[in-house]
Amino acid sequence: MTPTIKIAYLYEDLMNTYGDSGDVKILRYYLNQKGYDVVVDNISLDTPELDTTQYDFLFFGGGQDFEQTVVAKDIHRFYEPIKEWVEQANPMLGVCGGYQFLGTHYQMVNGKTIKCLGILPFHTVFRPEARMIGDTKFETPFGEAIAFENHSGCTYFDDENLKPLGKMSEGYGNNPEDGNEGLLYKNTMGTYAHGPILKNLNITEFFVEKIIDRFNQRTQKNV
Amino acid sequence: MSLRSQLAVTSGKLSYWFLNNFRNGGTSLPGKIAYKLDPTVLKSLAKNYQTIIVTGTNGKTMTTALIVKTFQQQFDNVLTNQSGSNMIQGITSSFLSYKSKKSKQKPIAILEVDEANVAEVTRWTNPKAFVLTNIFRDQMDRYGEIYTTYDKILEGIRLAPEATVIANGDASIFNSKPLPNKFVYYGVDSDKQQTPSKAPVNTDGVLCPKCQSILLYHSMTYANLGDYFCPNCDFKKPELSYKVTEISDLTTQSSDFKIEQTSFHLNIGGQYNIYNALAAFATAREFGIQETDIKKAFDLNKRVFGRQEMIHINDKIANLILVKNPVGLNEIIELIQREKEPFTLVTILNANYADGIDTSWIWDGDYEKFADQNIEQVIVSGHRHQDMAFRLQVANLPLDKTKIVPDLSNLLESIEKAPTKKTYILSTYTGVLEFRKYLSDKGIIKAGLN
Repeated sequence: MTPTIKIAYLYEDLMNTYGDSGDVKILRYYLNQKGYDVVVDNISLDTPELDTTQYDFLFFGGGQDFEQTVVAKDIHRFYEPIKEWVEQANPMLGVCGGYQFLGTHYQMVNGKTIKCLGILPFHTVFRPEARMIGDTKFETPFGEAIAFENHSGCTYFDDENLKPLGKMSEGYGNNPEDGNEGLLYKNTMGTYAHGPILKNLNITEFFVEKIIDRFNQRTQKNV
Repeated sequence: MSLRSQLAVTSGKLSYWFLNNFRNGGTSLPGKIAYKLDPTVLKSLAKNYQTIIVTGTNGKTMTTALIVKTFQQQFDNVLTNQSGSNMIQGITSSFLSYKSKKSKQKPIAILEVDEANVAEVTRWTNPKAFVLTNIFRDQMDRYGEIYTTYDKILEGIRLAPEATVIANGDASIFNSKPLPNKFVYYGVDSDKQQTPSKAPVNTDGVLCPKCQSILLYHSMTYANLGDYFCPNCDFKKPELSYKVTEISDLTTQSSDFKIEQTSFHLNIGGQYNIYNALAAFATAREFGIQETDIKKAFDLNKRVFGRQEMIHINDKIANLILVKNPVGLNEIIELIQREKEPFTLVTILNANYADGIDTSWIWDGDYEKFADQNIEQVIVSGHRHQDMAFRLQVANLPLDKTKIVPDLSNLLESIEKAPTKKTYILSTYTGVLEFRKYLSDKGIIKAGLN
């Protein structure tokens, strides 16, 4: 029987507008080449619970503002399993909105805040005057990456121990001031990089390895 | 007309005359000159016209072309704008260059209008009707999200509360905001017997605008279009005034369908074109045009610029198709699924401003569906050929049959040498422009946009 890797795609039917589904397609392609089947489950408004013991990878992409406000109301019921997943160093990728949700809150233009998961100590401020749109290039621990960003949310770290994913050489990244892109915490990556980011095979390689490790651990095989 | 407007009109007309006689036709320059001299010039120019504005993400050009054909059956003077000149200046140019025939009828202007220009064009033309095709995710770097796009269109409609809105009833977004206008909906009749289901996961705009539940569908046509309803509140597809009752035949080249009891034929494929024809039908009927005249008009329909345009290259036939967003692309992929013969697939991906500078949308396209087809060669071209080559690799298209031709000027030669008689060329906007220019310089096609 072909081993089957399982991916939980958080709100695939709502957070899906910026081509980030490409990240999952790319992972599927390389995992297939390594002999694994890949199954993707949509975890959404009508999913009763998120049983992470069934999964090898959590993916959370970018969505439109309206969809994002609806997700914000629903997502808190998945706080425990996602928090545990991240802390146990399992692989997760959050892009744009999916990245912002890992922080504590999202501050809107009218001063109101949307409560996020609060798994990691950072927050995002919506600044309509800061439209960060365009090609990006940044240096990561895995090497250089190129991508495309399209956001008005500016992300700020609230704990100096938190590490960014990379240093910008082109474009904005987290915000117009810091010159940093995304975050990397254990095996969780948050990023503003669409494009999709996993067209950078150095980063894909990192995830493929971590996903297979997790699969082996989950199915209790020793390699 | 004010003296200033008069001056603007004269200058615009003069520049049109100059461009037309000494250059190879101008598009928006005369409008630009006139608009600069007097921003209200369009008001003077459009004063006597009954105007219809056609807008939406996909299908604007084809719907406009079909409406023009139907109106020409009954009206002497039907003005329209060229595809690609759908912003205020291009539209001003169209009015400047229109030569009207003597007639007792009021002239008609049927305008394809860019979504973000609807308010500005409405301000000066006092439209009688708005025709709304659909709203899908489209070049997010330029247009933003679908709700923002609809808000921009609404900004225009609110300026003309007397105008009729002729909208796609299968698109839930067009039923999401109350307006004082008269609404007329068109759509595809559905079979209520089917078990309701959600839209496929990678579909946008599936939330109920009233209670934010995920919508269900009795049946779907494509993307988020269909017989939707909310399982949690009373939000549902509105009553349709005009409906397609049967789609009897769809090929890569043609479509046969029924609107109410009458059969229609279009010499172009694709489900989305049936919607375009239906939108044109609804508009024509709202303006009192007879069904027999509409039928005649549809038979006359020519293919328009880069929309499934057939190009003969020696003994080969290339079908040039514009793709610019995931929904449009997926409909084209669906259409090509009907191709039975072996073919060559050509992609041209550019990332200029007019194409959208973000190419990540190609990842929401179902290129995976090509993997099972009889494709003998894949040719990847355009500025972003690397992105596309990787996309097609991940879609499991055969790498050994894939050829990279970065430069468009070498593309013709590659198509001539292709192993199949048939070629499908899927190109972004500026790719279509560049490649058509190259072909017309070689004398393979005629210059000009239509």
